[in-house]
Amino acid sequence: MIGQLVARDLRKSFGALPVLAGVDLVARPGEVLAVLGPSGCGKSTLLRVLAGFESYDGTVSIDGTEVRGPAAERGMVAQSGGLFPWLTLRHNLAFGPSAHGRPRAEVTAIVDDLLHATGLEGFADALPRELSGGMRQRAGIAQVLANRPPVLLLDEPFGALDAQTRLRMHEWLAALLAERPTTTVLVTHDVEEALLLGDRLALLSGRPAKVVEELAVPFDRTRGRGLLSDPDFVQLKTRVLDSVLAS
Amino acid sequence: MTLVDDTLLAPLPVAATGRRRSRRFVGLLFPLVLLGVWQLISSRELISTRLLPAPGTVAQAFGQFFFGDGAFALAGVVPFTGAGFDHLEASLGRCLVSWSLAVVVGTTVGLLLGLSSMARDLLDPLLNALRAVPLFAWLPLALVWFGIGEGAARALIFVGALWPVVVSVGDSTARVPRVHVETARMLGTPARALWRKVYLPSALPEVVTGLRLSLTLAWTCVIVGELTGTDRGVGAMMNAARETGRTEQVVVGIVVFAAVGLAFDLTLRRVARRWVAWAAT
Repeated sequence: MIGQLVARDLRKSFGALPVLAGVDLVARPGEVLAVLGPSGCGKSTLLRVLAGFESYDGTVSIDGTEVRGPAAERGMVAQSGGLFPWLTLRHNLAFGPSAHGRPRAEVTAIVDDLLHATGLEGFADALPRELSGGMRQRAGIAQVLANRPPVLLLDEPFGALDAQTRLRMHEWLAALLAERPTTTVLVTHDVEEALLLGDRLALLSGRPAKVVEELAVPFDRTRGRGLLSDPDFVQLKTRVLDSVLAS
Repeated sequence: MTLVDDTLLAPLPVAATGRRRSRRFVGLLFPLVLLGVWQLISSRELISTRLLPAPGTVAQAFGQFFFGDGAFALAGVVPFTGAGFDHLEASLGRCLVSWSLAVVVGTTVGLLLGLSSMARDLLDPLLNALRAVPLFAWLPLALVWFGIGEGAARALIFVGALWPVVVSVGDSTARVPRVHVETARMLGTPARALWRKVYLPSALPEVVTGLRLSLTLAWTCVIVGELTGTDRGVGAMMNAARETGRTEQVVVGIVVFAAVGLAFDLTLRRVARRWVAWAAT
């Protein structure tokens, strides 16, 4: 399986302001690495560096190939979603495969498959503004997955949703990634989200950020809302929350 | 695996309310009210009919202009009776040719300004200064460069129509959200195709507004262009009518300009509605 992401001694400054101070990360093929950190610590900058949108010092590689600039092998979903408001959902999902010159029949098959996976078959001809927040976020993830990237980068994808919708989205994404294993780096400030979706957690310090702790999440991949009241889950959540607040 | 989530469906845009429709109807009545006031002023002779001819006189002149027989000419060279369609065709031709050229040039310059910060830094001061020059200030230069008649008229209409296109395309493409550009790049769009795939579609609502404004301005510039010695065109007719003191024929020209301007705007709005439906609120 492909999709090994390795970041070593990653450093990034904006002018005189250091944001990343030697971040070391490894996301193994197919695993979900949740990156947690206090607000404003540089989580989004880290993800933009991994996506190739920002220059950096240090090394970032995917399966041994160094990252220099954006590429379809690293699909990033921004917090605001990346759907193009002037295109219908179908055309949004077809955007990536079409840009790569895939035959029309193959593009149609990819789009139909993703519409099914997101439960949005009935909204193929809708514009993004006609979809709810949860639908738009699912569609944004599907738009990126249409290129079948080995690495998926999620920047607080459900941060703008209400608590109930967010919980549904967690279950949906967990099931989707179980069905289509993809190396995923999920940046979030929500400890519960990190524990429900992540296989491992990386805790960042305050700015300038570096990884202060890594830990494995000791629960089955198929995690539902029932886990929220599990004593082990609650205990781990409390411990991680304490670490985040202390960092 | 599916997760159908109909409960999360956002409400669709609400149709125009009955109150809005009735306001529009009242809006349509305004010209009729004005016509009534105008008739009242004329019949009571509150203003000399030489300065403001009666609506009936203007209607009669309007009929003569488009459907009259004969070869009555104003100022010796500009025909009036039965020459309406001929003048209209000349004005429309000048307007549309010059406007089309302004759209092509303005879109190219606007894209250059919107996509290249270097171009913006280098050209912005010069273009802003040129934009501030009143159209009438170009008139003598247009006459020197293109001679009396057609060339000068088209050049003036082009200058008048150019700036709204440059400004709307330049400003709106410079403001395209970064997330759209980055998403397109990440999904595999080559840099050379971004203007077509992202910048223009994203900027289209503002560009369409600029095009509407530009077409209206082009049409209003027709009368300036036709002051350059042309003998065909609605503006040329109005100028000749003014010289011979036929105010009712000047008013006919105003009515023609207003009607065509309104038709232009409605047509462009209708055509553009499909392109920018996604931006409707």
